[in-house]
Amino acid sequence: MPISTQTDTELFQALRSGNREALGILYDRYGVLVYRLALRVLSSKQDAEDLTQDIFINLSRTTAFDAKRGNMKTFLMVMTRSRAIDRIRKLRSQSASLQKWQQSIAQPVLEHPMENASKHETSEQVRAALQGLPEKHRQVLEMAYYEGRSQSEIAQELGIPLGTIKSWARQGLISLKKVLKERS
Amino acid sequence: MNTRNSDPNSNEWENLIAGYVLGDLTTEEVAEVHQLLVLHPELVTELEQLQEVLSLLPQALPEDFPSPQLRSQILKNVELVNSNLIAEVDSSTYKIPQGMKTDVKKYLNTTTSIIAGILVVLVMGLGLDSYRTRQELAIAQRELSGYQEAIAVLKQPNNRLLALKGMGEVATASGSLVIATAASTGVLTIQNLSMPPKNMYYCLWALIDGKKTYIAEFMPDQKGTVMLRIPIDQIFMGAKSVVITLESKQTTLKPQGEMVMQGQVSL
Repeated sequence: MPISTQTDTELFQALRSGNREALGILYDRYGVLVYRLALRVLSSKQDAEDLTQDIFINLSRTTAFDAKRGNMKTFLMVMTRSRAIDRIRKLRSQSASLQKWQQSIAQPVLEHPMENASKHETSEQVRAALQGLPEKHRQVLEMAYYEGRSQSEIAQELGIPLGTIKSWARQGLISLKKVLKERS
Repeated sequence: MNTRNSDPNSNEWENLIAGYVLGDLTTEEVAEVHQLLVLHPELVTELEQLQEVLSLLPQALPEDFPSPQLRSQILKNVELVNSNLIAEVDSSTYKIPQGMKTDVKKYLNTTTSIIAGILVVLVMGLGLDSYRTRQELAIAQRELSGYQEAIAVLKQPNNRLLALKGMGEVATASGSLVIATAASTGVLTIQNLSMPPKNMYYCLWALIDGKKTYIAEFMPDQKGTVMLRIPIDQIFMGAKSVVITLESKQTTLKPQGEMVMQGQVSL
């Protein structure tokens, strides 16, 4: 079977066995997505490329990915978001709260990776689904996801009670899941 | 837990799981979710789907693309990282002998003193020059902050030093690149480096296996001084020598220009 048609899991196994071409194929599949997420969080093309490079170099050495517990795309997205937000957080503050926050985002990722991925979702579908959300739900969800802000910080910034912010974010996520499920 | 609706399909539970995925639950609520998942394993799928949906958000981002060279650069650097890791296991190249660490400290103390001197001059200059505009002051303050950060890096333990020496037209230039392994940062300091000709700039490269790999580009200030803090990727940590070339702004990130300075690991 040509390497380009292999599954992500097979490619990852090939990569672990020293096949660098497998990394190239994984980059072809997810490199742009990793870059876009890095760019959205870091707001710098150079920084986004640097982080994309770090992510794929790290992928070639990681033992953290377990295909039985989650898919490659989600693994890469989680890793990219975590590292990108880590970088901006370090820039924002060197305080001890950083480590506390890092732990809080790292834990669910490792303990609860995704298995049943919706592999057929396209960018257009996700965009349309997001556009269909109430503006305030979408805004809070994106602030939490891309900017790594806690719900308390968002509540403070927007001048809205914490309970309302939590409700908007949760409803936004639940609605998004329902819409995408219907369309897939 | 007891106050919740007992139906695992209820909106209340869905809401709680969404909060779990978003990381906005209290410690008690997190424990409640864990218990819920044990009692109703079918809810694990619900949780995984919500996590998956969250990770789909980047698919809606604008269609930006990385540079076409990034792929080949990553594959090349993966090779370098792995060969460096092997080299690291095979030898003790990176370990500084105990006696020499004292020399590093001495050097760093000297360097720190020089930088502190620069700081004093800068601060005095700021105080005396009442004609500076607010904007110039802001720039100077940013520079001060940069120097202070650089000093903090220089003071870190287990730093590696590459001494730099000028050649040709900039033979009097000298400096160093200190690599702070712990901070993944390098500090480049150079003195007596003349301004490059128009549309030219200086470029720092790591010399790994005889090949030059781009690290950073820079310009000296009017006094011929360079003080630059550079994020150093892991792949450059093992570089035993670096070179500085004079490059044209028209060229790509390939070393095509004349070599003007060279540095070797000295400590």
